[in-house]
Order: sequence, then structure tokens, then C-alpha cells
Amino acid sequence: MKIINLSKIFAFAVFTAFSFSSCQDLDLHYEGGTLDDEQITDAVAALPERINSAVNGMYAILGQPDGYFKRGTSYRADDFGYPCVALGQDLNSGDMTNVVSDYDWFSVALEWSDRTPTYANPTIRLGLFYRVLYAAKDVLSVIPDDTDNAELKNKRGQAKALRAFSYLSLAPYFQFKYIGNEDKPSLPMMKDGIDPRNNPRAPLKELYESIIADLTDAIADLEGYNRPNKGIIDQQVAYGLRARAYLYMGEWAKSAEDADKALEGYSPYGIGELKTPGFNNASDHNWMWALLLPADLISSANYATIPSQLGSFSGDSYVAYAGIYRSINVLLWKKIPATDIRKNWWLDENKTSPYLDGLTWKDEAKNITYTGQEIATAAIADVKAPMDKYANVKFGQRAGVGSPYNYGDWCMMRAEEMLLIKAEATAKAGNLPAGKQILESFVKAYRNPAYTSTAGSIEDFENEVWLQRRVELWGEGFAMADVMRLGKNVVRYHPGEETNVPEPYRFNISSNDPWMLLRFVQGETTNNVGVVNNEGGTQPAQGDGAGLKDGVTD
Amino acid sequence: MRKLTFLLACLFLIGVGLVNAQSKSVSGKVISAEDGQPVIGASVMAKGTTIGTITGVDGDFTLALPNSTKTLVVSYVGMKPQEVEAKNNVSVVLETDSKLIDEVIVVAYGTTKRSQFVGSAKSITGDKIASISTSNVTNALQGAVAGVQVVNGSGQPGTGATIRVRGVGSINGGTSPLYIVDGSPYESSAMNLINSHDIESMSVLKDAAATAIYGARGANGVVLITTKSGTKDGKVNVNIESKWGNSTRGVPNYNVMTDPAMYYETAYKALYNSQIYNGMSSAGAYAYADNNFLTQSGVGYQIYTVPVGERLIGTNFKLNPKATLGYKDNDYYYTPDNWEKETLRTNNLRQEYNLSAQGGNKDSQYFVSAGYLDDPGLINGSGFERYTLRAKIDLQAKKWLKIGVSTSYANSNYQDPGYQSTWGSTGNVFSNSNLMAPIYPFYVRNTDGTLKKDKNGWQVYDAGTTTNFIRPGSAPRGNQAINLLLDDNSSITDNFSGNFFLTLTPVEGLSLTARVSPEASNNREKDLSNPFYGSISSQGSVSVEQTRVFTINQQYLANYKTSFADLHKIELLAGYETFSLKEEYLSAKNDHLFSPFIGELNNAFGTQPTSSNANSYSEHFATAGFLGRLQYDYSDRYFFNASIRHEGSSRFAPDNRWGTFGSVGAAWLISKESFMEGAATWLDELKYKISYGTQGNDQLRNYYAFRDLYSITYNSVTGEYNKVLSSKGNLDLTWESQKLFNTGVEFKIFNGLLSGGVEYFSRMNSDMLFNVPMPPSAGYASEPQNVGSVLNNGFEVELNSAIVDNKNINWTVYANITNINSKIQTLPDYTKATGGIKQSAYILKEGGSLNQAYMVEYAGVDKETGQALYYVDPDNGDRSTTPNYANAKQTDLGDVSVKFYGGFGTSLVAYGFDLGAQFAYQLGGQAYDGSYQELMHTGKQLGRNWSLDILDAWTPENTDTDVPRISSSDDHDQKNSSRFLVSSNYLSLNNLTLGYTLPAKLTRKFQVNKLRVYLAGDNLALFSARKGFDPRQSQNSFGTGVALSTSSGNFVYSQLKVISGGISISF
Repeated sequence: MKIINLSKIFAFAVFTAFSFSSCQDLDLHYEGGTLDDEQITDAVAALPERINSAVNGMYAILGQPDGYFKRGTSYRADDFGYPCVALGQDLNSGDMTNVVSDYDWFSVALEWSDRTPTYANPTIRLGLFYRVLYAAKDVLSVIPDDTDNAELKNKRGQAKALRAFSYLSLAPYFQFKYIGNEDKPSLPMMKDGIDPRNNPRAPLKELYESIIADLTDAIADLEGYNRPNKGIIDQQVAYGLRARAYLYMGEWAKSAEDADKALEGYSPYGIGELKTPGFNNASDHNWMWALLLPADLISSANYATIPSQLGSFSGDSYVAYAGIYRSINVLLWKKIPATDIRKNWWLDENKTSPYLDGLTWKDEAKNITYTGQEIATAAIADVKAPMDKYANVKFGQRAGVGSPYNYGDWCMMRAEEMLLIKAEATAKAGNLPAGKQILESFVKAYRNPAYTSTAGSIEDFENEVWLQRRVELWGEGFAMADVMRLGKNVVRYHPGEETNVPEPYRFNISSNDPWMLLRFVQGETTNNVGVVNNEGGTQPAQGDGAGLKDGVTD
Repeated sequence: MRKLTFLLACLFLIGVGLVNAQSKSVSGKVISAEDGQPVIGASVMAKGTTIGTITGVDGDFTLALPNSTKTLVVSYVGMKPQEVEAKNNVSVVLETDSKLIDEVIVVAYGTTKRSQFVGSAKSITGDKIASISTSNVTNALQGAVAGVQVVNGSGQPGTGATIRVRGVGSINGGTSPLYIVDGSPYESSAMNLINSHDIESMSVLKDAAATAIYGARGANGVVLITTKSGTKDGKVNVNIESKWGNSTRGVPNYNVMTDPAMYYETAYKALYNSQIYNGMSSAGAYAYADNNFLTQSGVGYQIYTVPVGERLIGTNFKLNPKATLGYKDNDYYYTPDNWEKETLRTNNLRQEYNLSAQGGNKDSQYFVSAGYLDDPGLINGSGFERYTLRAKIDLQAKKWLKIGVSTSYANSNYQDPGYQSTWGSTGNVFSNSNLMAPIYPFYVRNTDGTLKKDKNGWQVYDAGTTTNFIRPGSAPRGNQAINLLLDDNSSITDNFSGNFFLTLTPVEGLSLTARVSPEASNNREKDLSNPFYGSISSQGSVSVEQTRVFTINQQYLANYKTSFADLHKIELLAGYETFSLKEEYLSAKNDHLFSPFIGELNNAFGTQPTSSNANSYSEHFATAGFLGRLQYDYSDRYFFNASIRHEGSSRFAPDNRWGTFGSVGAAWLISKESFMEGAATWLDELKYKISYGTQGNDQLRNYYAFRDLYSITYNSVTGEYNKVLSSKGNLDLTWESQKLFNTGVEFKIFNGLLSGGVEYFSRMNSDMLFNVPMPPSAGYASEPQNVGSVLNNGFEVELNSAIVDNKNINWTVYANITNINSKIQTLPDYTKATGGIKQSAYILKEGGSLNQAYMVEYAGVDKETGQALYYVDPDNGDRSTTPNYANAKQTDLGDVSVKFYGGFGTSLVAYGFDLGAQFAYQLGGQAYDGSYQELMHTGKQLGRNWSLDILDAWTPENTDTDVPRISSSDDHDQKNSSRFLVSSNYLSLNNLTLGYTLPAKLTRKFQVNKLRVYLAGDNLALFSARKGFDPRQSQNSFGTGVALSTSSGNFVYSQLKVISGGISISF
């Protein structure tokens, strides 16, 4: 009996020794590029400057490929932040077109089926800005209202300016123009204490009041602030944003005044600077605010980039590969005088542009180097199809023509826009001659030495400025905002005239067509009972709106 | 040290005591009545004592007995026991008794007899599994087990199947079962590393009584795999198995156009119609079609030669009769090829070799095996090659100590060219060859018609941009053929899994077991992209990924078994178990290869910044749980079982981490009751069982769903770090809880002529793990919450019949059917105001199912115009129609879930021949056929093939049709709608085997116990609603429980049809 007891003791001893050694820790963290609050707090405690990451994060949302849907390796190639929104808006307009292709992620904008509530493209175009708003709210929530700390005030200024920018980037598309529609619903606003599941659309007036208030605060907060780089909003950019806001509101004098303040120290690209594809470098002197997109930010989602979806020169892209060159509408192109340097931003009817001179593109497989104008017509297997007539060569490939690396900066605001705002707003504020003078001196000195403004009325002048905006800012995301704020028709073709708009996209839309308004996507209406959607109108079909004119391309 | 010596000495004394108790010796032989062969391992006991032995290799035994022993009891599993006089040279002939077979099944933390099991489980034997030609053992469950649905995704060798036990209980929570191999959890991703020939049995545990003791991780059912063990008969049995086969495409393409002329004519018509339907004159429409036909707005390629000055397509829309196939320009000759034929490899020798040996005696048993599998797949660059080694040793080291080690090593090379499951990808050769119009060349040809070679002597394939013609954007661009040859996508895995246990028996009835099971998996994946085709401008690229997963499971169990008065049997189990996982990942990529053939980073010299080109992370996950179980049997008639588990998971915040789960179950063996004695002549067994229990599910999103997570990026220009919210967490997140109820009867009548069971089950998931979608205006996409509930219920019927069972012929058939209904009981309150959670293809709403189709409803064709019509807003009573798709609202089209599924089959063994067939089916559901939708374009996607059904398109003469008009500018006619919902019913012939076993008398002469040759066919036929449509694949496009997606159809790597022959020898 004693023997059995001893073996029992031995057995239990071994067993319990094992058991006690195996207590399991259940407090575990992910270790990698995604951090939780505890890990961030630890990092900031050790390296206090890491606190800036929250402010920088607001800007990062605007430029991050795969930033909205976050699908990793199966990312959507139309998910690349603000530039993708800009491209979508411009392809809605009458200014930009391209061939029909199943490889075109933006065909929904060309065919105006982007009002379909289940589509992803309009989801990004709506939701992206609320991501910024949420991040801004986070930043603002930790800054005391009465702070005297200069650094905190700068951060607050940037957060408020970005909040205003976000609303301003949505406001023109969800309701018709400000004047006359002040009480109509605009957007759900991200206010403190709201229930996101029941957040109705604020009246347009309330939205714009908040935009102006935020920008006014930002201008005060950013007084004297020297930004470290052009990726950050400073006081002049805040003035520029308020100039945009006042322009949308029809507050002409204030708009002109703010544009003038924003412009201080900046001048447009000179004629001598416009010799080769570009618009991809924030260090250009006329750029006021930019998304800085170096290679390390984009390389994991190389197709969700501007060079892949807008430029014509990437060696690894959608546009060149599938031959869906973003092209200027020939109606608009024909309005550009031959003496205007901007005529070179697009290939002509013979598929040539002086912009191609001196460039080379090598077909590595066949070991053929295409130079100058040959680039336009060259076909390189697996890389590029021949370019179309009127294809843009405005946007260059920062890494070099034919390079597969699709990095490059995106312009958010530049001096030319401010000058055009100033010209339009000055005239509309009641001083047509002064407005004309501003416009003329800009275009003459920097774009077309032969230019004169012939407008005899505010209406004529509005169209003159609009033409300049459509040409100057082509591809930069202003086209539909202008159509909406000016109350214009979208005109893509004139029956019987030459057109480069493919049949399925060949239609015009009247300025008061309810289809003009973007819809709140299904994700919004299903999850936010407060939202009443825009209604009415139908998706246009080939040949619709045949007789419509826009006053510029007539 | 001193203690141990003392202990050993004591045990020696006990042994001596036992030896001294004997006095006489008898010997004899046991043979089987069926075949006259010796019965090995039969038990021979002195009646009324515990003295006994087992028979040896030749069925003989020798036993030392007390003088008082008069009678021996000889027994063997599946045979009628016999009592014989205890004398020398006794010969015992045992007869088979199917009535007495009481299957031992493997259950949680042990085994039990089927008759006394209160839960719901089904077991498949190893030889059934081994007879299927698959690289993943889970495929063997298809159609074989009631309640288990196997959804095959890709047919790529080495990929697994999705297993669903009794439906899908959750919206966002994980749905895969827990896999337990030899008592320890096993990563489901490594199921393809288990050699099917090493498996003794695979059991699926379905109800709470069976699974609740696994706590949180068993919520979706448990699959228990038991590997083979050694034997106790003192013999060594060696098995050699060789199998050779050939793989071909299992499911053919849709009925598509194969005649280039027909495609040309239809395409021309589409261009013409686009103008005529939009008001253009006939002359203008011809001019438009002529101008665009060979451009990117048309078909792009000229492949017919017509006499100079003549039309290619006449104004009667017919190809010029003088046209000859083939066209030549200054550089190339163009003629179409059959893309499918050129894409699929023809010579796919599948080889499988296995060698195993098992043996041992009553104190030590062992099993060793080695296997090799080469499963090459249908396309170049794809395949699966595997080496496996396994060894298992069980030692009764001491009377009170049992030790065992089981180890397995596997090495696999999984070659998987990317994108073969990706919808719409240029790289997917299955969708490309399915969708390519029959007018495009696969190869580039010189002007003399010979195939063009590049400067390296490689075939030049037509990528659509290679020649003077360009394929339009709607025809898939690219040609992956050369990439499949020159690229390398291989994933090499070394997997070691081991299992060490120690069982102490300090007192009679009590056993203490410690089981420690480490599993280590190292995977190295290499993707080489060649610099010649595809990624040309970056001069080739390479990406290398290394993943190391280490898991360790530890179990400490105490089991106590006792009985009173031979009536009450009690078994108690208590234990503690922990599981921890660590995954470490490292990857890097670079481009600019020096040598185009070497896929290593040191051969890549790109200079791009690498902060996003190199990645590494570590994941951690752990659980810990206390478990207990009580089993009580009364009089072998009443069985009672209760279990409990208290478990914590690192997936949840500390306050919400721990949960308690449990079950109660009972069974009543009615046939053993005295009042049933009258039925004993025909009723072998009748059992009623019932169980109820709770379980948890912790699988949501990632291991850290409760935390807010931020992604960090760095901007090298500004030198700043960016922090962006990447996913919103929820500290209140906790277990999804599940209530399971199961009841049913099991029966067996007429000596096994018919047996089976009927069960009713219900599965109520509440506090569902759910990524609650937020409106875009909230600023973040979703928040994980415990909300809502889903009820799954239904019944399972399983029938088996041994129709003929005699000495020469054994013929059995089986069939099973499962009915399942899922219903969402509750959802978050806010969904009531908005009518449910709406998605682009389905809606989640109270009262609906998890597969509630929600799409625009197709209303047929407008007889006047030929345009597609859609109902405007049926959910709100507006059933007027519109040709304008964007004006039609989505509507609730009802539950499209599969209502019934199951399988049936037969097995006939006669005079040495064996024939087996297995079928699987599902009924009552619908799926979305996206591939068919693509093939029914109206001409807007010229360059893409058409289904022959397009020939029935509306024309002014053919107005009575369901197919809208052909017109290349119509945008509304082929949109996502109910038009492409199709029945997901199918019947598949999964396996057909014919074998012949040579007579033992013959083979014995060569010292061979058994020699069998066979022919087998796997995946031989699929009958579905439409040729080309494989409903088994369409459900796989969603990883979550919700199956309906508009991007589905036959675009995934086809299932393999394997015809093989083999030989197995044991000696």
C-alpha cells in the first residue's frame, strides 16, 4: 500500500509541475505597421515628436493609395485619395474623355452611372472626406480651446482648415449652387455629439457658415506659422481655401480679397517653364499646397496612382497599357489658340505635340527606342498602346518616361487658380475692367502673348474666365465644381461636329437636370436614417441633350 | 534518485507475484469462418478471470492458466464470441456478427462506443479518404457526412475546401470548423500537408454534446482526425501503394461561340445596331460599323482575307462568301486559335506513392510511413508536390505509465500562379480563355504562317498589343502563357507537428494525461516575374516571403472511471488546456533582375526606396481554458453526459475575455429494454438521443478586433510619420454565443440490412460577431459589435444498407440528406428604419436569411424596342418597368440559400472485385452566374465571347425573347440583376472506383497478404443548371458566411477530373 502511495505522489508531482509551468498570457499585441493605442502611447512617451503623426495623418488620407477600402494586395486601382476624386469629377464634365474600355476604372464617371448607389467609385468620392473629418475631430479633441501654445494653435489651424476643405470638396456636388439654394439640404456634418446613424443633411447655409468660420479660425491660428513643407496648410493656403469658398458662395469682393492674400509671393508657371510634361513636383514655385507622394508611399499599390490613371507616360499603368488616354474634348481643344502654350498639353489631330520633343521611351523587349513624336504612335507589347488624338501630355512621369514607378506629387492649389479667382471675383464684384485686366495680364504674360479679353459683359467675362479655368486647370479636379457653381450645362458634343467622345459617352446634360447631383451611396442611406437622398433625372444615353450649349465651346 | 530505484524495485516485486499465480498451459488456434484465415489479435480469456492473451500472427495462442480454469472465452471485434473448453490444441472458428459491431468513435478528449454516444458525430474511415485522389483530405467529406457542406473553390492542386457544419451561423464571425489531429488543434491552412493514407479515421462532431467541451473554437463544428497507430498482434504489416493518374479540366466552358465567322457577323451587327437604334440612317449605320469594326471600338483584328475592294461583312450581315480564314499584313499572319486548348496542359501525370509499416506488441506499438505526391495541375506553373513522413510510438512503459510520441514532417511545394481565382484579372487564364472571342490568335505568326519565336527561341504569344492589331479593352488583354512558363510562383512549406503524451495511472480508474503538441510551419514563397513579358520596364522583379508559424497546445487532463454494482458507470474528466500561436512574417521585393531566371533578392538591383518593399510583422494569439465532463451510464441503457468549459481568448479585452460554455446530453438505448425483447429478431439497435449546449465563437476580423488600430506610414520627403485610423475597435466586444439543440434516433434493423439515423438540429447564434457597417459620413468603415441573432435549423437523415452481405458478396449503399433553414432573428435597431443592411447583391434583415438576394429585378425585354426592362421599385409596390437601369431600385428577391444537400453512393465487393461510387448534390438554392452575364453582353464588350444564347437576342422579327437586343452602345442591358440568378442545384459524381484483389491463396505464395489493382475516376461529372456553371465554386467568392456575390461564375481554376490507376500491396 505504501508503494502505491509513493507512485501516486510521484505521478501527481510530475503532473502538477507541467500544469503550473503552462499558465498562458492572454494580453497580446500585434507587432508591425499597425499599432494600437497602448503601443502609440509608449512610442510617444519615448519619442515625443511622434505626436505629430496625428496631424500628418490627416493629409496622408488625402493621398494614400488603397487608403479608403484598404484591401491590401487586391486593392482597387481607383482608390487613391483626392486625385481619384478629382479625376472622377473631371470625367463627368465635358472637358475630358477617353475610349471605352473594360480596363477603365473610371468609365462610371464618363457614362454618369456613378449616381448608382451601390458603386464603389462614388463611395470613395463621398467617404474619403469624412475620413479626414474624423481624423481632424480626433486632433481637435485634444487641443484645449483656450490654448496659448503656438504649436497647438498651428495644429488646430490645420485641422480646421482641412475640415473646411473636406466640406468644400463635397458641397458643390450634392446640391445646386449656393445662391438660391441656401436652405436646401447639403451634407451630414460631423458635429460633436452627433449620432452618425441619424445625421441629417445640414442646410447649405449652415455648411458654408461652418466652412467660413473654420477657415477664419484657421487663418488666425496659422498667423506667423512657417510650414516645414508644401504638404502642410499655412495661412496663405487657408486664405486660398476661403477664396474658393467665397467664390462658391458668390461673395465676390471677399473672394477676390482672399485670393489676393493667398497669392502673395507666388507667381504662375512662365511660358519658358512649360516645355515638357510636368505637374508632378511640389517644388515648382507656383504650387501653394500639394500632396507629397514619394515612392515609398505608393509602391505597394502602384496602379492606384495618378501616373497610372491620368498620365500618359507610365511604363506600368492602366492608361498606357489599356490605351485609355485621358484626352481633352476636341470642342474645348479647338478653343485654344495656336499661340497659347497650353495647346501643347495635348496631342493635336496628328498626334503630335512639342511636349514630346526630346523625350525617349524604350521598348525593352524589342530593344527599340522611340524618340520625340514617335512616342505617341508607338505600341509596346504589355506596356503601352498608341496614344489617341488629343491625349494629354500635360502630366509627366516623375520617375522618367516609361518608368514603371508611379510616384509624383499632386497639386492641391496653385497661383494660377488664385489669379483666375481674383479676376472673376473682381469683375463680378462690380469692377469688370479690373477683372479683365487681371485676366489679360495673366494669360498674356504666362500663356498666350496674343491674348486679349473681349468681354463686353459680366456674362461674357464669366465664360472667358471659365474657358481659362477649363484649360488651365484641366485634369486637376475643378471641372464639375465650376459647372455646378456657375449653373452650366455639361456639353460633350455638338451634333454634326467632330468629336472624340465615344458613342456611349456622347451626350449633353442640362444644368438643371437632377441627375447632375451626386447621390448618397447605399452605405450612407442604409446606415444613416437621417439622410434624404437626391432624386430625379435619369442616366443619360447616347445622343441625349443634342442641342445644349455651354457658352464656351459653342 | 533514491526514490526512483525504490519504486522500480517495488514494481519488480509485483511482477514476480503475478508470475507465481499460474500453473497450467494451453495452446490453440483461432480462424475465421468466413475465409478460413487465421484471426490475428483475437482475445482469449480464462472465463471469469482477467487472465488472458491475444492470438498471434498465425492465429495461435498459448496461455498459462490456473488449474481451476475450465473454459476459455474467445472474442474478436465484429465476431460472435465463443466459449470453448480449456484444453491443448483447441481450434476455434469465429463467425462474423454484424449485430455485435459496436463502432468505437473518436470524440473530444477520448473515444466512446457509438451506442452510448449522446452527441451527433459521423466518422469516415481512412480507406474511404485514401481512395479519393485529392491533395487535401477535407475533400473526402463531400457528400459523405450529413450536415456537412463542402464548398470547393479553386481546383488548383493543394488548395483546400471550405467546410461548413450545419450551415453558417454568423455574418462576420468565422465559419470554419476546428481541426483536431490526434488530440491537438491543427491549423486548417495546413490540411493539405496531411497524407490521406496516414489517416485511420476522420470524425465530424456536430452538436453541443460533442463539441461544447472545445469551448470557443468549436462553434462551427469539430473535425477530428486520428492517424494510424501500431498493432498489438506482434506482426509487422507493410503496405505499399502506388497510384498514377491524369488530370484534366473537370468542368467545361459554357456553350460559347466557336465559329469565328459567327462572331464576326454578330459583332458587326452590334455596331450597326448601335447606330440604327439611335436614329441613324441605314447608310450611316453601315458606315459607322465599317469604320469601327477593325478598331478598338470593334473587334480590332482582321482574320479573314477578302478580295481587294470587297466588303468583309456584307450588308446582309453575312461574312463575304469569298472570305478565307487567315489574314496577312507586312509583318504577321493572323488566324484564330482555341485559347482553352492552348492554355491547358495535356500531359499531367499525377503520381502518388506511399509506404507504411505498422506493428508492435501489447506493450509497444508503432506506425511509420513515408509518402510522395506529385499533382501537377492543369496549367503550366501550377502544381503541388509533397513529401510526408510520420511516426507514432505508443509505449506502455510501466503499468502506471504510458508514453507516446507522434511526429510528422511534411514538405510541400505549392506552385500557384497568382490571379487564377481573381475576377477580371488579366492574369487569370481560366477566365481569359473562357471569355476570349474565337477570333483571336493565341500565337504570333510570321507572314508565312509559322509560329514566331523571340530572340531567345521562345514562342511569342499574342498579348493583344504584340502585333499590328490591338485587342479591344473588353477582350482580355495580355497572354499569360509565356508568364506561366517563365515566371515562378512557388511556396515551399516545411511543417513539423508533434505530439507527446504521458499518461499516469496512480490508482485504478484514474488517469492523468499531459499532452504537449508543438507545431512549426515554415513557409517560403517566391514570386519571380520575368523581364521579357509583363513587367518589362522594371526588368523583372522578385518577391520573397517567409512566414514562420509556431503553435503549442498543452493539455493536462485527469480522467476518473468507476462503476458500482455493474449498473452505474461514471466517468469524470477535468482538465486545463492552453493554446498559443505566434506568426512571424518577413517579405521583401525588388526589381531589375540581372539573371532572368533567379528569383532571389540578391539578383535584383532596383534602387527604389524600400520602406514599403520590405515588410515584417508578428502576430500573437492565445487561449486558455478549464474543462470538465461527467459521463454516467446506467445499465448500458441510459447515458448521460454533461460538459463545461471556461475559456479565455486573447481576441477580447480583459473584461470580456472569459466565457463559460457547456452542454448536457442524454441517450436511451431503447432496444436494450426488456419490453423490446420481442423485437429482437429484427431490431438490432434503437437509440434516442437529445442534447443541448452553448458554445462561443471568437473569430472576427483579426486577432485584435477589440482595439482601435492605426496604420503608420512614413513620408521620406517630409521626414514625417503619419498615423491613420485603420480599423475601429470595440472594448465591449466579446464571444458570439451559440445555443445548439440536437435530437434524433439511430437505428439498425435486420442485421444491418438498414441502419441510419434521423436528427433534428437547431443552432441559434446570438450576440453575433458583426462588423457593423457605418455610413461613410461617420468617418470609419465599420465597428465590430456583438449584435443580432441567426437561427439555423433543419434535419439530417442518414441511411446505410448492407443489401447483400455474405461470404462472397458484400453490397452496401448509403445516402444522406440535410435540410437547413437559416433565418436572421434580430439585427441592430437602426436597421429597422432603413429596411435592413443592404449590399449590392444581398440584404440582411430580420426574418430574412443570410442569403437573401437583393438586386434589381429583371422584367424581360421590351417587345417594341428590344431593350432590357427592369422593375422600378417592387419593394414599394411599383412594378412598372424602365429601360433605365439606374432608375430601378434593388428589390428583395427572397432566400436563395441551398435548402437540401447531401450525397449517396454504393460499394460492391464480390469475388475479389470491388466497385465504389460516390455522388454529392445540393438542391433548392440559387447562385449568381456572373460569367454567363459576361458572355451575354449586348455588344458593348466586343472582343469578349458570347454565349450561343445571344443568338436569340431581340430583333424586330424576334420579339418574343428574354434576351435584349444586340447593340454596342447599350449600357443598360446586361447589368447586375435577377436575370443572372440561376439555380444552384447540382449533382456530381465525385468518385468511381473499380478494383480487383487477387485471391489470397495465390498471393500467399509470394508472401503477399493482399494485392489489389484498381482504376479510379474523381470528379467525373457535374450536372448543373447550365453547362459551364459550377455552383460549387460560386459560393466561394465570399470568405464569410454570406455567399451571394455578383462577381461569381466559372472563372476560377477549374476543378480537376482525375483518372487514375493504382496498385496496393501488403505483406
